[in-house]
Amino acid sequence: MHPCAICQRSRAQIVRPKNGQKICKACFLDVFESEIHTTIIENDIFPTRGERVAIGASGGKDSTVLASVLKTLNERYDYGVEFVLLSIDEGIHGYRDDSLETVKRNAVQYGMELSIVGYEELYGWTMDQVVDKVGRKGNCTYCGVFRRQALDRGAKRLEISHILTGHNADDVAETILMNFLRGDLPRLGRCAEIVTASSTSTMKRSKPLKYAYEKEIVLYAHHRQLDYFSTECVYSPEAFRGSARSLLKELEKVRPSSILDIVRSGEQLLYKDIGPSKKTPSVASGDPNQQSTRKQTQKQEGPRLQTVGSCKHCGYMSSQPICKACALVYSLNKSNALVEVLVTEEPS
Amino acid sequence: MDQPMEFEVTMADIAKSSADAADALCRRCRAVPPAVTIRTEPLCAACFTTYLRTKFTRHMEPFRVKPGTEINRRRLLLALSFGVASTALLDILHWHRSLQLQRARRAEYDVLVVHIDESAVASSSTGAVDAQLEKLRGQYEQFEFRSIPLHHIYELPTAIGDTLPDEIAAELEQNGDGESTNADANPLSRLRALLSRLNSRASQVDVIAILRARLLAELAKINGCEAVMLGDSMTRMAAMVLAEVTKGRGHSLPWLISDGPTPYGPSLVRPLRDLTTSELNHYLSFTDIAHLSNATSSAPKPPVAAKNQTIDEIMIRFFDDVSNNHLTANVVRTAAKLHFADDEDRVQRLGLCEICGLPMDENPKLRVARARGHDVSSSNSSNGISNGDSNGNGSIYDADARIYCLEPSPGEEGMKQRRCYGCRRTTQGAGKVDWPVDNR
Repeated sequence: MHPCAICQRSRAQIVRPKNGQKICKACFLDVFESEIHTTIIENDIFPTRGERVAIGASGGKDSTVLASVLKTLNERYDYGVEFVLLSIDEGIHGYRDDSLETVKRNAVQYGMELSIVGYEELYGWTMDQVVDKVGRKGNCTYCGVFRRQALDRGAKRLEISHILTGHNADDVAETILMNFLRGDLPRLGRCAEIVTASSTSTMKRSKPLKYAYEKEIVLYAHHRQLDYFSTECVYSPEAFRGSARSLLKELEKVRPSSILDIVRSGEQLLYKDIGPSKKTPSVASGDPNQQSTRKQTQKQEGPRLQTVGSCKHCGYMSSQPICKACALVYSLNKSNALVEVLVTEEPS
Repeated sequence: MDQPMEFEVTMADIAKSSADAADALCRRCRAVPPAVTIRTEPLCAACFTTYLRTKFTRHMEPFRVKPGTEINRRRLLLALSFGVASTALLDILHWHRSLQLQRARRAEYDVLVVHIDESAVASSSTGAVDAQLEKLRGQYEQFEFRSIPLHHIYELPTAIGDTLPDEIAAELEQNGDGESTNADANPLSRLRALLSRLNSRASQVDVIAILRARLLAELAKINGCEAVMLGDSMTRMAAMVLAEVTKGRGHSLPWLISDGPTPYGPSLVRPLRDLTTSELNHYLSFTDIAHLSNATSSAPKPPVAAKNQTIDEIMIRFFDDVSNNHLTANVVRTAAKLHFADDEDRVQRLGLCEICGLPMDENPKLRVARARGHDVSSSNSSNGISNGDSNGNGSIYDADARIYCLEPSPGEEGMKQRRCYGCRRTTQGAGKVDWPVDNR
C-alpha cells in the first residue's frame, strides 16, 4: 500500500496531475477546494458580503465543478454571497438543449436560482440558423460575440454586476500561447488576469478556476459524482485553439507544471498593458533593448484610447457607433458579407 | 460582344504571357531561372544570397568600418554549435569581414570562434570536434577557432571555487573519479554532480543552456570581446520565446530575447534573427558549405521517449512544422514589443537570480498592485526581503506553494529571495547546488 503523501494514513488513490503527488481521495478533494479558496481570498474575488454573483453555467464539467465548489466553500468559509446560475441558450439542437437540462438539474441540486437567456430572443437568430446561413467555418465568431454580450445582458437583467466563468488553467495557458502565435499583444496583457473589469464594461468577470487543471476538474467531478454534460459542441471547434491545445498537452507530458508556469509567465506580462506607466522608463545600462529609444517613444504615446459609447441600435456599450453583435446581426439580416457591413459602419 | 479574332492579342494575353515569362526567371535579376521561392518571390541562388546577406548586414551596423576613425581593432566572439544557423553565421561573418578588407582595406573587427563542447554531459553532442574545427580553420582563415568544454565554467577566475557545500563535497568524494578528494573537485565531476541533482532531462538541458550562455559571456570578457554573436534564426527565436514562457520565465523575456547588453557583461547580437531556418538551410546548400555543419549528419536522431523530451525540443519541432511556419514572425515580433517599465526598479529592489543572472521576478499580484499605484512598500520592499514575503500582509497561505505547486523542499526555504520562478522550477528538489558563478 502506498500511503497518501498528505495525510500519511489512507491509501493513495490519485496521482495529482499538477505535481505527481500520490494522495488519497479525501485529501485530493480537500486540496482542490482549498486551492480555489486560496485563489478567491488572495484575489479578493468577493469583496462585498451580500452580493449576488452570477455563475456562467453551460452544464459542462468546468461550470458544474465551479458551481459545486463555490457552494461548498460559501458554506464552509461564509463568503456571504448569493450565487445565481446564468445560462445561455445558443440554440444548438442536440447540444445545448441537452446540456440545459443538466443545468436545470444542477439548479435544483445546488439550490441556486437559474436564468436562461437565448440568442433567439436577443438577436432573432439561433446558432443553428446562423450556421445554415454562414456555414460551419467561422460560425464561432458569431457565437463568441453573441455569448459575451448575452452573459452581460442576462446578468444585467438579474441586477448582477459580477459574472464568474469556468475558465481553467489549461484554457488560460492555451490563450496565452494563442495570443503569442497570433501576435495579439493587447490581449496577451489581459488574458491571464483573474478579475477583469475593463473601462469599457461595468461588468466584472472572474475566473476562480484559473489555477485548476482540467484533469483535476474532471477528477473532482468524478469523485464528487457531479452531474455534468460532456458532449463537445456539434459545430466545428476552433482549429487554431486546437493546435495550441495539442502543443500544451505535449508540454504537460514533459513537465506537468508547464500549464501553471505558462499562466505565471502570462501574469508577468500584464504589467505593460495596465496602462501607460507614470514613470519615464530610462534608457540606462540595464536596458535590454538596444533600440529601446524608438520603442519607448512609441510606448509613451500609449495605446489608442478606447472611448466607450453605446450602440445606436441596442444601447449596449460599444466602442464603435454600432456594437459588434448588432453588426453581425445586421450582416445576417442583410445577407451581405460581414466585411462589407464593417466597412460601411466605419466611423468617420 | 464579338469574339476576338484568333490572331488578335488582348491585354489579358499580354499580362498572362509576361507573367509566365517572369515566373520562369528570378524575380530580381530576371536573368536566370529561380532556385528557391522566398516569401512568394522566386529567386536565383545569387539574388537569394544577396537578400540574406542584406538581412544580416542590417544588424551589423555597429560593426561597420567608420571612415575617419582610428584603427582600433574590436573583437567579437562567435558561438558555434556546428548547427545550420551558426555555420551559416560563420560563413556570412567571414564574407562580411572580407568585404570590409576589400573595400576599406581594413576590417573593423576580429572574430574568435568558440565551440562549447558539451559531449561530456549531453548525449546528443558528437565527438570529432577537433577534426571539424580543423576543417573550418582551413576554410575561414581570418578567424581564430577554439573549443572549450562546458565544465570550464568551474575554472573561471570568477567561479566560486572553495566554498562547496559540505553535502556536495561529500557526494563528489563518493562517486568522484578518485582525484576529487578535496572540495576543489575536478570541474567535470562538479558539473555532472550539478546536473544529476535535477529532476528531468528538460531541467538538465535548461541548466546546460544557462551555463553555456554564461560561459560564452565570460569567455568574451576574458578575451576582450565586446559582443557575443549568436546564430539564432527567427524560427529558433520563436521557439525560444514560447519555451521560456513555458518554463515560467515570462518576467525576463525581454532580457532573454533582445539583443544588447546583458546584466553580466558583453552584449548579445543575433544577426540572423530576421531569417528562418529553412532560408539558412538554402544558404548552406547554395554556398556549398552544408558539409561544414553537422546538422545533416545527425538527421536521423535517435528517438527520445515522449517524457524525456525537453521543452525546447517540443517548441523547435512545433515551429519547424511547415503548417506553423507562418506563426514564427508573429511570436518574435510580439515578444520584441514587450517592455517592462519596472525592470530597473525590480533589479534594484530584488537583485538578480542566482542561477540565470537575470532580474528576479515578483509575485504577480504585488506587481499588479504596484502598477496600479497601490502602496505595497510597507509590506514588502522596504525591509529588503521583498519577494520572500511576497504574499504581503494579511495573506493566509504561501501562494507559491498553494497555487503554483512550487513548494520548497525541506532545506530549500528562502530560495524565493534568490532564485526566479523559472529557475526555482528547473532546480526544484535539487536543494543547494554548486553553482559556478556568482550573480548576486
